[in-house]
Amino acid sequence: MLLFIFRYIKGYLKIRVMGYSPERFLNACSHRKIYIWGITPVEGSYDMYISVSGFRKLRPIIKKTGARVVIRERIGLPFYLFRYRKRKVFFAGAVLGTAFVYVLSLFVWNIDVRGNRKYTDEAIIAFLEEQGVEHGMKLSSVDCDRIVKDIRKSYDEIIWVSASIEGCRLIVQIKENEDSEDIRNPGEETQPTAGDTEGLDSQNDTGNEVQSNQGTDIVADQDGLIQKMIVRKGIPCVAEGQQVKKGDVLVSGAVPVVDDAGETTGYQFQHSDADIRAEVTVEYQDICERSFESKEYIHQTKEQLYLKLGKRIFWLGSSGSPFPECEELTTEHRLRIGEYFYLPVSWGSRVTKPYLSSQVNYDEEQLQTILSGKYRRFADNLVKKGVEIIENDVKIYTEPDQAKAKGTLTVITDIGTGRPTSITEDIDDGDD
Amino acid sequence: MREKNSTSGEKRFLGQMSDMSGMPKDVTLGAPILTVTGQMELLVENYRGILEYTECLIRIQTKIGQIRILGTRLTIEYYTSDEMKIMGKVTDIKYVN
Repeated sequence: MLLFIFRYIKGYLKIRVMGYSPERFLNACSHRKIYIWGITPVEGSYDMYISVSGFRKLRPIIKKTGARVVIRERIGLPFYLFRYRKRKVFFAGAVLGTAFVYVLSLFVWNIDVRGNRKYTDEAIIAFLEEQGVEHGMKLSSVDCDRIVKDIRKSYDEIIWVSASIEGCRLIVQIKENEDSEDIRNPGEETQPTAGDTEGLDSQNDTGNEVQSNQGTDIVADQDGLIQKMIVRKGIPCVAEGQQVKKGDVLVSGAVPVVDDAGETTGYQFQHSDADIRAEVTVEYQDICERSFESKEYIHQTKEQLYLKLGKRIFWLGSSGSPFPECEELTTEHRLRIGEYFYLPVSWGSRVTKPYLSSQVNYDEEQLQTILSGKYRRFADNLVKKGVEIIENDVKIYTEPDQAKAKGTLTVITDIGTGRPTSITEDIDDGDD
Repeated sequence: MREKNSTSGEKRFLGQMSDMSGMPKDVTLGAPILTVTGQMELLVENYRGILEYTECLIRIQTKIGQIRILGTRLTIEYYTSDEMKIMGKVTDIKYVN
C-alpha cells in the first residue's frame, strides 16, 4: 500500500514493448537497474509499468535492442495535476484545505484525564478551566509544568501528575493516594439534611485530623451520659455512668510521667484514640402545612423547538406560552467535540404542560401519615449511622393551619471530637 | 570432451570446498534460489536473464543452466537484476543442463 502511494505521488507509466526480442529489452532494463513491474505478455509483446525517471533512461536500450516502446497510460499525481491545471478553484481549495488543517492543529481539541478514580474527569477539567487551561486554547500557550504544579498544589490527595501534549490532545495523567480513607472533592460539601442531628456521626478517631507533636484530647461535642468507653490511647478523664457537658475532656492526650515520689515530672504527648458511647437527647421538630397547592393537569401539551447560539435563542414558531399556569420541561442537547469540549451551540425542546391550581387541605389522617413517614425516615437514618434509639417521645400536634411533630429522642451514640491538648510541656506541675 | 570433464571436475572441487568451508552455495557456485509459495508464487534469485516469456512458459538463464517454468496465466510481478517474482499457476519447474 505504502509502495503504491509512493509510486502514485511520483507518477508512473504503462508501456508496451514490441519488436523482435522483447526479452532482451527486459534483461537490459534489469542490467541498468531500471525498475519495472507488472509485466504481462500480450500478443508477442509485453505490457509493463515503469517509473517516469526509469522511462527517461530507456533511449539507449531501445536503440540497442531495436524494440519499439509505446506509452499506453500515464498514472499518478503529476499527470493528474497536469490534466487539471486550468482548474484554479480546485487548487485554491486544496491549498485552503491544507491551511485549514494546519490552523486547526494549533489548538487543544481534547483534554484527556487518566488515572483518576476518586476525582471525576469533570472536576479536574473544571479546575483546569479555572487555571485558564481549556478546550480550544492554543497549543503553544499550554504550560505543562504549570498544570502539574497547580494540580499538585490544590489536590493533596493526588501524589503524582504528568501533563503532556500528544497531537491536539492534552493528556493529564494523575495518580491518587489510594491509602487515604476519605477524600472529598474541593468545593464539594455534604448537604445537611432536614432534622440531621449535629455531631451524631462525629469521629472519635482523631489521628488524621490534628497533626501536631503536642498530642490530642478527645472532648465531648454534646452533653450526655457516658455508657461505654474503650480507650486505646490516652488517659481517660471520665468514667462510665458519668454525666458530661459539651467541651469536657473525655480522654487526655497528655500522659503524665511520674517519678518515685509520685510527682509529675513531665508529659508524654500522643493522639488519643477511643470509642466512647453516651446517652444523648436529641430534639426533633417537623412542621407540615395543612393547605397545599393541588394541580389538575389538562390533557393538552405544547412542544416548542429551539436553537441556542451563545446566549441567543431562536424559537421554531412562537416562544410565548398560551397558558396562565403551566409546568415547563426543557430538554437540551449541547454540541460537543470529543467528550468534554462543548461548543456554544445547543438545541432542544420545551414541553409545556398546563394545569389548574387550587388550594386543598390535608385531613388529619393524611397529616399523620406524612409526619410519621418523615419521622420514620429520620429514625432509619440514625440507625444506619450506628445510633441506638432507646426512648422516643415525639408526638404529633395538630393546629388549625398546620401540624407539628415535636419531641425528644434519647439515643446512644458515639461522642467526642479531637482537639489539641490543653496541657503544654512548659507548664510545671511539680507543685500540685 | 576433455575440456568439459575438466569444468565438471572444477565444479565438483568447488562444491567440496564450499561444503568444507560452510559457505552458502548460491555465493560460491552462483546457484539460483527458487522460493515457491504454494503453486501461485515463485521468487527467483541469482539468475542471468530471461530467455523467453509467454503466459504459459518462462525460460530463465542461470549460471548452472536453464530453468523452465511451466504454468498458466504467468505474470512477472517485478523484475530487477537481483530477483524476480512470478505469479500465476505454476505446474512444472524443469532444470535443463
